[in-house]
Amino acid sequence: MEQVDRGQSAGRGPAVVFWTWMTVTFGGLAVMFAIIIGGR
Amino acid sequence: MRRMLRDNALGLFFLLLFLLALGGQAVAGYFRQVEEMTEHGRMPADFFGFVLSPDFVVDVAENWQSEFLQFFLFIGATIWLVQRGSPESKNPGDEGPESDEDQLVGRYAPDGAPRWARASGWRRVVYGNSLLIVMGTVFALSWLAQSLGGTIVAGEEAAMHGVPAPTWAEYVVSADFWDRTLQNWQSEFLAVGTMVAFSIYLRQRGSAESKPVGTPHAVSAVESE
Repeated sequence: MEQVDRGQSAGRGPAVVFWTWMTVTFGGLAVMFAIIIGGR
Repeated sequence: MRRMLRDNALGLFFLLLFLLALGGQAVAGYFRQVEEMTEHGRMPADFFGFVLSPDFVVDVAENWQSEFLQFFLFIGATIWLVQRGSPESKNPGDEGPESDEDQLVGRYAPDGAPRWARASGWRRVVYGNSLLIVMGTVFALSWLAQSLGGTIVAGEEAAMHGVPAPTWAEYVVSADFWDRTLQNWQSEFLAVGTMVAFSIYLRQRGSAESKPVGTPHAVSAVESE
């Protein structure tokens, strides 16, 4: 239970990490497709 | 601020490593291309021209797809398959998607549960498989990017040799595409298989990826204690 309590008071850090990685991953894919489309 | 960094150190550590390695790959790949172009007496592209080229996309995408395939398969396979003694596995007998009570969904959802875990119908199904869905999506898109970029690169090489450029359908059954694909897959499957097997008998004190040092070899999931 201690972990759950800490998680709920952890602030925005986990959300920032989650959305940063989502942005890196899908942003990276978007850049790759943009390069491919531009290179055709 | 210090607590924020400490609480999120694992995610941030790998983000830093990723960015450094990607930057290093770009620099090393650029110099490799300069060497190759110079040997062939051709004008090399500038650095950003290389980073924004299909050649670099293929190099990045072929590694991305295999990593996300690895996690996609690992997440999916560990629903239904177990390895007795591995901390990466559930215990024999626990195979399958488990009950709503075990998974804390619907009326078993605790206070603070994600909203879609409490929901019924498609929302619960989607959220209950969201990790697999996202990993599978990134795998599929990365593999597609590898194949499309590889088609362009193969077309450029064909033009240099005065032969017809392959279509995408021709490229995805080519030796180059499957050589690049399978050389990445084999290493991923090796890494996952060894992690599952080695962790039966080997330990790393303090690591979340290991059983506690004194755990008997036959105990699979730490949660079973």
